[in-house]
Amino acid sequence: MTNKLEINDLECIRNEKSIFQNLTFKVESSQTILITGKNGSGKTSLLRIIAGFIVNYKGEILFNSKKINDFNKLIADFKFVGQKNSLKENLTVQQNIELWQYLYQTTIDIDQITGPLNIKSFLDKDVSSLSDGQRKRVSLSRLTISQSKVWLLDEPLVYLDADKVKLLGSLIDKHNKDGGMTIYSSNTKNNLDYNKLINMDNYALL
Amino acid sequence: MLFYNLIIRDLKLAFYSSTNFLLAASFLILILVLIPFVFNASPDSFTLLFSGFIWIAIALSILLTLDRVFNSDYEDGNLEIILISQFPIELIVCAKFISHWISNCIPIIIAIPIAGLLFNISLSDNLYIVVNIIAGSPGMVFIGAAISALTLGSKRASLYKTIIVIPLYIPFMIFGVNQESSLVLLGLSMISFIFSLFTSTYSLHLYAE
Repeated sequence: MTNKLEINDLECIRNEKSIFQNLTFKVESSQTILITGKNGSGKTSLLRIIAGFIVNYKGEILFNSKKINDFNKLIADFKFVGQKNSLKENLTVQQNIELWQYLYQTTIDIDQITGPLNIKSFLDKDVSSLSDGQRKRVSLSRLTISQSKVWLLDEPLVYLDADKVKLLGSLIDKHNKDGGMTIYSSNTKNNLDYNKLINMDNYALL
Repeated sequence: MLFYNLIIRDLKLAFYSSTNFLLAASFLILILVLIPFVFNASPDSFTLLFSGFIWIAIALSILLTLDRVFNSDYEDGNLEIILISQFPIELIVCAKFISHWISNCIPIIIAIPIAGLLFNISLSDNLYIVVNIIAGSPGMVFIGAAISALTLGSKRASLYKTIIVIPLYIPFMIFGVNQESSLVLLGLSMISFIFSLFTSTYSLHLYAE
């Protein structure tokens, strides 16, 4: 089944100020969208609106023609990996993964989760002893936990070296081939392949 | 079901970082151990003062742990994951209350008879104190959790929390030192549950927006 995410005339309001407006785009299964723009142009806000964290916006977001304008809706279809790594610093990577089982309410196959981004070698290390790149890889590994249709990645390439960007690229390709779609924000030159580019500077009210 | 999963997750989290599990109880024992050094009194008067000291120690110990109810999950981004699970915020808040009480107050309840031994407290008196604490401590945890939800993300959260929470603990202390008032404490806990549930849910809604 093909999935479709439509953003219609979206306007984001933070602290009673409009951040961006008139944003309209459409994403279909197997597509990757890159969101770029200056700092403060609303890249993160856009991803957080789609993920359901920010409800203060105008316009509409349709997923498979169903409206998502409320917190808590359709969330099983979306997976968001933000700039915060959501890892407990004083626990080992394995313990963190074990806790994800309760948060995502599913059993986790450790090989399946450690394979794609090659995090097996530091499973038993404390998160506090990992480098920023390693933390990012652990954090991104949560994408493989369950079958979400839409991946929303906020600056996933920060701290990743060229090899790991390729690993993430193949993970996203596999997800898209299985009918998923990916929207990610980035400001680096070393980007993944994408089907559409959205430059937030065109919509931002800076 | 996320309710149970969340409780188990928080308990495991507390257990894995074992300092968390033992912090409140060891802090309580330390306060109690220090008190005789600053009072030039006879052992008998310590026995009299013990139930008073213990409520001050409990209030401070619970205050010390409040950062972990919502704040640590807020700072590392886990709170967002919890909040967008398809689950009523009220139940998320209840799960947080329960796991926080289990991981902090049960060690305190176990530590109190041991502290009682140090102060030469009789077994029956110890029992009264423990019953009062079982009745009163949930209320203190609820209030503390609600205030920490209210101050979530604020720059001076620790300061606000201390200033707001301590006055709200005074009724628990007043009734806590009285041996016959465990039912009143239970009532106070119930009232604070209602107050805290709505306050926390409202604050998390605000935060989510």
